Amino acid sequence: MPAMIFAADIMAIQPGLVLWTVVTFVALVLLLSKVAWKPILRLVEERERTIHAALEGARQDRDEASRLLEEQRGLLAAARKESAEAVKKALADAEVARQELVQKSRKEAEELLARARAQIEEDKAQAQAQLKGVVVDLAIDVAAKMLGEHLKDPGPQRALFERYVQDLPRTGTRG
Amino acid sequence: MIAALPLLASLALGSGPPSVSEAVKDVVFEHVTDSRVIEIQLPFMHEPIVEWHLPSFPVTIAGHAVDLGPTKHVIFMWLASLLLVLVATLATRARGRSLVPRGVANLIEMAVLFVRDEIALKTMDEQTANAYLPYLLTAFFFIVFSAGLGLFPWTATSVGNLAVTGTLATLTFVLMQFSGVSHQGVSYFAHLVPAGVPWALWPLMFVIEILGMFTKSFALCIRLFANMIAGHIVIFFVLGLIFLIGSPLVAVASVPFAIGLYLLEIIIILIQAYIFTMLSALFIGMSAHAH
Repeated sequence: MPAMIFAADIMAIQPGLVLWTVVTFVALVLLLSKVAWKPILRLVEERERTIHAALEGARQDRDEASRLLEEQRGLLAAARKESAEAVKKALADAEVARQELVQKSRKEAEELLARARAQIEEDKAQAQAQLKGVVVDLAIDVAAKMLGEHLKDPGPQRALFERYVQDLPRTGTRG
Repeated sequence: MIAALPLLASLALGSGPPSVSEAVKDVVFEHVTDSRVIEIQLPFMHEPIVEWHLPSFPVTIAGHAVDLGPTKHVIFMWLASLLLVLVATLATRARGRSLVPRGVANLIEMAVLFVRDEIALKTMDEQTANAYLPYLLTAFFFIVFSAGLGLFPWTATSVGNLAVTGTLATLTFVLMQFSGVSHQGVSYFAHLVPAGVPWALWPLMFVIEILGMFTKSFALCIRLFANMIAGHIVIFFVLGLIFLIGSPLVAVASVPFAIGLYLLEIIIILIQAYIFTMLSALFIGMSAHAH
């Protein structure tokens, strides 16, 4: 039966083919491992490392960014608080300065007023003194005219007139 | 498949029913067996347009006469290997130093990563995996390329030969022993029997475990061989049905069926390459660590 023969042929193992298979396969392992597998695996590992490093770097960058953001937020809040405080302090200072200024100007004004009053008093006293002199002179003149120029020596009378003037009522002369 | 059509067609013109069945068997088995002749036939031509008789090269190795002359399967194994080297080299060259793979490089790299991550790293620790990766990768791609090449017209499936699958399984067997001895030293043989086995059972278990090493490899060899050859035989017989039944109407069913099987064969090749590589890695990894 030819079929049986062929079936037997299928199962037959030719030593030549075994030898060639060993040679071919071992050569393939050596050659491919040098020209293909090793370079491919090396590149794959390199790529895996690159991707890993990129992911790690991205993660670090993100962490760094969020850390910086947090820091910036903190700084911003601090700056805001600080500026608010500064404004508050400035306002308070300004208030104090204003108060001081007002006090000072009020004091000055009062002083000025007091000085003016004193001056007026002084001027008034002086004016009254002069006025008294003038009044005395006028009275002497009037009296001299009335006495017909006999009162040549007004010396002793003058003292008398001055005393009269002194005794004149002071009401109405104030101011 | 396409190569078989002229042969099968010539049968239709030929003799009566008994010799038709014989002839169909002849055609089918001629396709899957190794031979010293490579033929290229075209449809409707009775004689092959190319008939290459391969030279014989008898030598004597250790008192045995061995014919080192290349056979059909040797030639197609070389062709597949050459193709594999070309594709792998081009894939490596094409991308240069770029970390981003493109086109063929991407496809090859995907398969390389699959073997590394899904096969080697799942069955062994990283250091062992790296040591055996070149073998595993070469086995995977060798099976895919030689079986894949066998799907084209006028070609032969070198990995559908018992001598080839047997050699591959033997290499895995050798690596299993090497991995065992290199990781565990001589205690590898003592640790063949799992811990916790009663002493009385020890001799029996030892024999069983030794046998197991061989059956594992034997199963590797037979599984690959049977899977690689079965698809081809079934496709040819499905087409042969046209002539065995003797009605062209059968073609309406058998040709689509054969095409379906042909597509299935592509998946089977990938699955079997995966299974062979996976089991090799598993056995090598198991030998590396005492159980």
